[in-house]
Amino acid sequence: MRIRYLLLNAYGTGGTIRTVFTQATTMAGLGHDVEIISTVQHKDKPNFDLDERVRLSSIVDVREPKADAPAPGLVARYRAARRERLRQRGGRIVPPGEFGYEAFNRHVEREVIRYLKSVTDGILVTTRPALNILAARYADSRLIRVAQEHMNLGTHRKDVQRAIAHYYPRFDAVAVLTNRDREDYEKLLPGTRLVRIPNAVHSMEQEQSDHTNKIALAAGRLAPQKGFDMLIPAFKKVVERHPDWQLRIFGTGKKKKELRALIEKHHLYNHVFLMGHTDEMEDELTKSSFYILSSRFEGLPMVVIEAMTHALPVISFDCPTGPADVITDGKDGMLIPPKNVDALAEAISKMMDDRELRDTMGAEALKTAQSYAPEHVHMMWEELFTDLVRTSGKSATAAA
Amino acid sequence: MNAQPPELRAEVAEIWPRDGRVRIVGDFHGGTDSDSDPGRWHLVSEVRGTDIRMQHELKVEGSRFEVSVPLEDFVPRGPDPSPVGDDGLKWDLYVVRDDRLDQGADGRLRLGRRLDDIRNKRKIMVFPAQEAEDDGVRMTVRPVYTVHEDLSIDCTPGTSGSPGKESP
Repeated sequence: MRIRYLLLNAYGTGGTIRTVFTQATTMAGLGHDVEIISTVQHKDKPNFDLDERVRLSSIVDVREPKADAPAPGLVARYRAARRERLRQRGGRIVPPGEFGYEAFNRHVEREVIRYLKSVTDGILVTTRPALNILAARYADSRLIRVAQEHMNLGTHRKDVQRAIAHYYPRFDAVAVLTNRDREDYEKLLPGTRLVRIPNAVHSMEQEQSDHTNKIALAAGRLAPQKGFDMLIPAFKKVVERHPDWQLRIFGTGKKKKELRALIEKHHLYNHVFLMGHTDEMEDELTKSSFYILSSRFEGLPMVVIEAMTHALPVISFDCPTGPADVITDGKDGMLIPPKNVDALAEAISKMMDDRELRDTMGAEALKTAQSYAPEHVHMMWEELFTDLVRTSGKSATAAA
Repeated sequence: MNAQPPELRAEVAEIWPRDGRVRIVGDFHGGTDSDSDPGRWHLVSEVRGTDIRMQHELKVEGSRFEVSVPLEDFVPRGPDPSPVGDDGLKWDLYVVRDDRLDQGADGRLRLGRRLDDIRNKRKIMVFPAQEAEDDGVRMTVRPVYTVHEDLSIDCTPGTSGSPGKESP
């Protein structure tokens, strides 16, 4: 099969990018002809490793011109000026409520449409609402078109939801990450083929925590979505009873100053640490004893499942969507009513009190993570693609 | 083969910059039996690049020590001219046993936190600043880790606020 993945930015660092790279690598390993197309390219090399069998190309190159590049001629200057005018204008097709709207100026939209019209064979997988909407409207109908949704439906703004309702029925399949999300999308898109395929973890071969270090770990962008402003007060409530425990929050972001102020306000500077970015997240997970997710909303929080591959039990708000899909309350972790700081504190305290509980839940967490093993998840994709080829009557191989 | 006993260290456990004081709790690690002789221990604070120093006695219980220094002690008095430049000054902190107070650099332990797994503490273990005033000199006082994970106290010329209160 020929499979193309269209990403907004293959040169960034987000979870979607990493997931698509892993998927593409596995598909290439199964002998398929796989290409990743990045809508924009702002640097020479991607941040994540990509298998050499997977081709990587881009639609709009926004890298600085090389210093030794020849001076542009008249035509090139004219084109550049026109491009610049289009760049100044907002997108016309992508709804302004799309979180990636800023990237889709008029120039980018035109180039993506030009690209979509140029592709006529195989399977095209688009990976966010903006690209899904563009593909639904402009990609050749001879293609097998698959939309991936990495965010839960409720998180999308109204204009994006309206566009989803209008255009997604044109897809051969729409893939979402969680069961709850599949139900939501089914209500919005009756008659559209909806599949739930979670993202796969990076690897199941991880060093496991022995649950002895008095370290609780949380990770994510320092942004309101991640709810660290609720986690810090919750930790305040337990620290007097458990003064030898630390909370380590990994990640960077715009709310760092506010979170630091919150730590100071609660006098938690000896117990709660904003760790910044790390390249050694796997070691950090192994060193800690349990994981906490305090988010207001999620798609499918991969870091939770990654934590589980290290045999870490997880305490999580039961926010939309993801935690309830992954965690069985009382078995491999604890699900807490969303935004309930007192209940979160109580769960954290319980976990700190009981090494045996951490061991038992950690062992269960490791079992849970198995269903997100790359080989398991990628078989789901392989089955979907094979079935789409069989049922759609379209060809998935390169046109001769 | 005789194994060398691990070097004696004075390791910070907690720092509490609040209520007009800087309280430091720490532990002795390593050393020989004679090192751990309870004796009397002091926190010796020295303004970096000068011979200005002061000492405060530590409360020691087993391997744990504790000291609480009033903020205004970190506001330096004389000599004239004041050692405080526009950028302020830094107090480097040492732990010294009674009988070694006269031995200068040889007999003292640099107070720090090097035995845990967190590096680059000055960006991760960040402490609040408080404002202090002594003899009309107003300073902002903040415990900081150095690039070597040692503990220092930063004093910068204060701008506003009331003495002993935490800066916003």
